[in-house]
Amino acid sequence: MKKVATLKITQTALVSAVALVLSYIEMSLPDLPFVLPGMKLGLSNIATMFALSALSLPSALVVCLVKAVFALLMRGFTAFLMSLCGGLLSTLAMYTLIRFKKIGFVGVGIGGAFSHNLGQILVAFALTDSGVFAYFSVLCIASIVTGTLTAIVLYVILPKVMKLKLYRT
Amino acid sequence: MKNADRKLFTMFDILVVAVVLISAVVSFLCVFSPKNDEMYCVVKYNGEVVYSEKLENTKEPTELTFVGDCEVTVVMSNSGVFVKNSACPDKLCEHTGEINRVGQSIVCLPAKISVSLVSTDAENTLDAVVG
Repeated sequence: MKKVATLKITQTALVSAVALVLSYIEMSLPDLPFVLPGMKLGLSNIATMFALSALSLPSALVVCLVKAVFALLMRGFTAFLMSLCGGLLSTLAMYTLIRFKKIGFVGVGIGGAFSHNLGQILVAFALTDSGVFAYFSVLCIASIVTGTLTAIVLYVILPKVMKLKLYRT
Repeated sequence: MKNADRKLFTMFDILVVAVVLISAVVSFLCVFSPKNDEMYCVVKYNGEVVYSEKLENTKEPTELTFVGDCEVTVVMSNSGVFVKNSACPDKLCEHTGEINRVGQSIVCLPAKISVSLVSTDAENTLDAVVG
């Protein structure tokens, strides 16, 4: 029993660390000229989706929380709220989508990216006004691209990581 | 293992993409749909137009006092119109509050003054001006 708990904690911590590194890499990327500010690749979504696929829902939620605290430390309270709401919503959405066996990686990835944007836009709406919805349609289109990217990455790495048997639960 | 037979892309993913695209289109339409910017504030006394002004022209809230059977003070801004003060006894017009959509109106019966929001300029659509 204790051994299982230790295994889970270690696995979650590992994925959280990966999420933080991905967040940091994403933060350090220069702003591309043709994208709007705030539009991001969502690299750390790879970690969340991995946690959901290979571990469990609680693990994925912990990864979200760690990501949000990281945002709080690096970029302040607004970023914390945005990251937390986006992360939680996207995790729950991906969890729901993953339960459908027939949906492919791309569907799960896009669903996650889309609901992440939705969560963030809702926070932005609560903090400012309805003007932020002008942004939403662009973010929706962007989430199709970023979600597909996340899905492809996961499609490639998941079987390889599984072969390592590190994540057998 | 739950992901062993998961495909990269299936027909069901198209559904997800469709949902995202639809919400993109809907939110775009909601935000950028042509607003009724041709909104005029028309004030009538005894059924005759005494004032008509495009609401967007009044960037700063402006206060106008109309003298009907009694005095009515109307405040107009580009967000809407309300009666600030009326010398009438029942104060119904004051209690109506702000109106901000085409078709709404405030009526002060004792003063015989009505304030309404319409989509066309009442002054320009008069068929004939008598007197």
